[in-house]
Amino acid sequence: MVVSTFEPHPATESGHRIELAPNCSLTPRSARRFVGGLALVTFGTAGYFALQGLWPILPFAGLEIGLLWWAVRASMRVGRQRELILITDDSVVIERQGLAQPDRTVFARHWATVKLRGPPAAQHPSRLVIESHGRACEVGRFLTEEERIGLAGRLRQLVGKSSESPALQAR
Amino acid sequence: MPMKMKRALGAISATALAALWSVPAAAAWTLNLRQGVTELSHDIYNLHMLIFWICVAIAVTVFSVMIYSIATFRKSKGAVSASFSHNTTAEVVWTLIPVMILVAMAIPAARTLVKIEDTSGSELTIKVTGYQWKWQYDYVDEGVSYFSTLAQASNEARQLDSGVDVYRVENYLLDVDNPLVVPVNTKVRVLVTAADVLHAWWVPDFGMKKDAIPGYINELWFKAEKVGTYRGQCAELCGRDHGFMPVVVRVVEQAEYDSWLAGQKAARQAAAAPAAQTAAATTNNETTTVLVANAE
Amino acid sequence: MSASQTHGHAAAHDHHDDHGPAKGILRWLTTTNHKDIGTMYLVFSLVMFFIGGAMALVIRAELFMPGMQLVDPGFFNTMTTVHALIMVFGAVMPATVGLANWMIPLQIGAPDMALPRMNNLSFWLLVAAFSLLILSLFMPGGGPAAGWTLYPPLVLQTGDAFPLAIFAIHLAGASSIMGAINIIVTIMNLRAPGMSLMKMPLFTWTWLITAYLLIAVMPVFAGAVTMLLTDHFFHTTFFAAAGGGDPVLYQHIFWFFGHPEVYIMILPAFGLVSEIIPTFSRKKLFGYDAMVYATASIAFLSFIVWAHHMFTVGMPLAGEMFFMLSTMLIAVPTGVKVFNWTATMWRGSLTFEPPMLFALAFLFLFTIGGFSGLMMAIAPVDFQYHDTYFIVAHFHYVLVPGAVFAIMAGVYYWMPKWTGHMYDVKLANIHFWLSAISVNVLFFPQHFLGLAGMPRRIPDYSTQFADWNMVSSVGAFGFGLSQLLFVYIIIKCARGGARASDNVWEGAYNHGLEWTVPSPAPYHTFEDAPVVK
Repeated sequence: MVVSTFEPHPATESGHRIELAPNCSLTPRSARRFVGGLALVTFGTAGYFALQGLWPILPFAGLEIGLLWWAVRASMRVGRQRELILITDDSVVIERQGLAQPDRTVFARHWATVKLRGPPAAQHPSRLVIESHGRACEVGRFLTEEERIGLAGRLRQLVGKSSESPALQAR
Repeated sequence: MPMKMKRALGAISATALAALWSVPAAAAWTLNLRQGVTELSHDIYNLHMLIFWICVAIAVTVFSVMIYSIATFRKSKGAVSASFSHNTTAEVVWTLIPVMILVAMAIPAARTLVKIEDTSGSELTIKVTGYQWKWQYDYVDEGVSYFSTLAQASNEARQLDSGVDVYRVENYLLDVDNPLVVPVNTKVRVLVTAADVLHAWWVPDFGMKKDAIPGYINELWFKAEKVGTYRGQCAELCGRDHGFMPVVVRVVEQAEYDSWLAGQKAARQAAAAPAAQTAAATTNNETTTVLVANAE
Repeated sequence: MSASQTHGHAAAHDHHDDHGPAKGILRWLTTTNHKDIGTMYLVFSLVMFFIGGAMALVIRAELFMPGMQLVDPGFFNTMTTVHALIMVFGAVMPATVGLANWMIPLQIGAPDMALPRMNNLSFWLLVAAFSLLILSLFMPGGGPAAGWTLYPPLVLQTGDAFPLAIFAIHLAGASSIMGAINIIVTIMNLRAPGMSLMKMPLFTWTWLITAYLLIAVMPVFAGAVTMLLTDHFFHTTFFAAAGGGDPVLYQHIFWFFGHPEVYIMILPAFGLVSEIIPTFSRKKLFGYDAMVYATASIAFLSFIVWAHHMFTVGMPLAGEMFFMLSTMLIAVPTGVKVFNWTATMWRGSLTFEPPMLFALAFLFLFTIGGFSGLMMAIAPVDFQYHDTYFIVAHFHYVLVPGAVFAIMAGVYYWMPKWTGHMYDVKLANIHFWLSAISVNVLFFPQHFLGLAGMPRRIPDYSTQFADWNMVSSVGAFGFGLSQLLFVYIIIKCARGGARASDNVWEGAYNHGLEWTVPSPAPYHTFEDAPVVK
């Protein structure tokens, strides 16, 4: 989803900090309730039929609710990802959190460029990349198209193009 | 197969126009349910018409509002859309009115349903067993039992590419060798079951149909008010020849029924006398096919 | 792509690890993009629509005249069976899943489906399922011929096709489950901030409820067909009367699945119509909350009405009474929906582009199907209607000018969004009129046939039924041929045409997030003109 934070960095006067997070509208509690509710209905009917002697329905119900549980957890795990873009006077730092291995990429701000690449195939998402000297780091893959376009505009404003002086952008 | 198909398609297109004109004498272009000849079938018919007219009334109301909207609120006529998006009164009204209509429909429906399920006081019980693809009729208290299969003429005509003009076959696909015979004005209780797969015994003029299920015995009843021959079909898919196991019931005067029954019993005894084993061989005898089902 | 980083901190990882989708056929085999998968579902369902339709034409050709002219009765039964299985599980359901894949992420502001890889798997399982099912037609003993309800004991007489068909159904079921789980998790977890449940567009709402239904009933169906399999091969007797089993119990569990399944096909159609009618009325949907509650009540009721499919099996009177009354109750929420759609048009500003035409045809013809449904809910009368062409007419009215027309309306509504091109509106109008007229010629006479006493699933009939059958068959061929035009319009639109604007339909403002995304989803580079919102 989201550009969830968008504020000047308190430490450095001219710094900016953008935090990106995927949509995640379930809380652990509502997720449990959601899966629990469905499991109740599914196991309720499967259990009833099992009592009538039709036990082969039960394993299918189990498989299915197991798959649902896995799917919800997988989706929520993805939802914990965060991407932090810190833009200071001389650097652009991209931090990724919430993954198996958090990582951090630093670019020299003067050389960094923001590029919004068209999709490699029709109907695919565009890709937002910060790059310099042949190194590239993609951000905002989990954003929707218009969020990414908006973010690209904002980043361009903040990072500036390589030919421009950052001072002009920092306002 | 393709060749055959092509030939058949040719035949169809050739006869299509001809067939369109040769409107058969049988009830062509029938639109409605038949009234039938039993109390139940009359009740069902009336209920059907009642609900039909209620539906028509609702349809006229709803459709005229729709048509009026379509005709009136057109952008091309300069209609500007209003901004309302709900109206609690209207929503409550059009939830409650259908509920009331449904209650009005449910009362006569429930009454008829109770009547349908009341098989008490029957004067004659017949057990009907469905087979792939024929019926067995068993006069439970009389010891008379026989099979009823598709009539020979229909059976020949219905073969793929038989070349027979089915319009020339009398009661095509609705004729059997040995019809069920019952007396008029008698409450007949029919026990329906099946020997192999599901079937359903149905005579539209009696208003009733019940599934024939292996291991189950279902009940239905009818009391035919008019003498005549009534035709129906198996109504539950039962395999390849599902379309070819009609039900034919002859409703006769009590006296005729009695003499028919006596004849059946006599024939059964005659058949049983020489050798019980050979009885089964008499299969396609036109008038009496007697099977010793419950040998004494 | 990435050079290793020497900037003191952690090494830069390759955040550019994939170079976009593979090219050519591999792209489609491996894609995880919701739009690609949505497109594949829609194309698949169109192919199945034609295969199932061809089978329907075999049926209607045989029934054109009394007498057996074309096919063996056994093959005829195979056609009715496989036609239904293909249309239900291969055409209508995948079409709504395809629309869901395309539109739900856009409607709730999500970048993609929640589980993109499972999405791919569920699509290809479906392809495998229907390849197997079609393959089963060529097995010794012929294809499955016991009706799509697969009632035992008849279904156990199926030849070598039996295990294949059951396996195909299992695969299709697994695919549906994965699709439903994916959709439900997407809707529950990937909504944009501010997109609360009661703000979701109705198409998304109906799909949320549909997915609930699917998840609740699919295990029952999977269990049911598994028991058929073990009855056939492992000498169990779940449904064999001779071994102490109960053939009627199969019908109960089949319809416990089957009735919700009916709503699984029609609820997304309700959602589509609820999106389209407001757009072309230039007015907000009347009674949004009531629509949501009505959909939920229909879904709830669908669990307690199943035995109205089996009034003739010999239930106790109390059972018949209960299922009759609960079934009649469904008319109330369904009525609310129809009234709300009508009220949406009331004092609107209507235009009649192809999506609206199809939605209006839906409104009228689905309502007719609703009326015949209400008639059949009345148990005593159903003793006459049951297993006749009256029921055939009823469910085709709710499925063809009901679900299928709504899907076509949806396709015409969003196709400019998908392809970026406007389709040929004139041709689409012709397609509409041909379909709307022929579908009535096809199915309306079947009411008369049923009332006159023609049972369903028979390959040949008594001469008294000849006239309306001929009319119906003419309508069938008309309808079938009209759909070729649909394919032509789609292909033409996919290949080019006038550019569609972002808000293709004037009235589409404020109806769901999907219209704020440029159409088609952007494709060229934005290097020069970033749009900042």
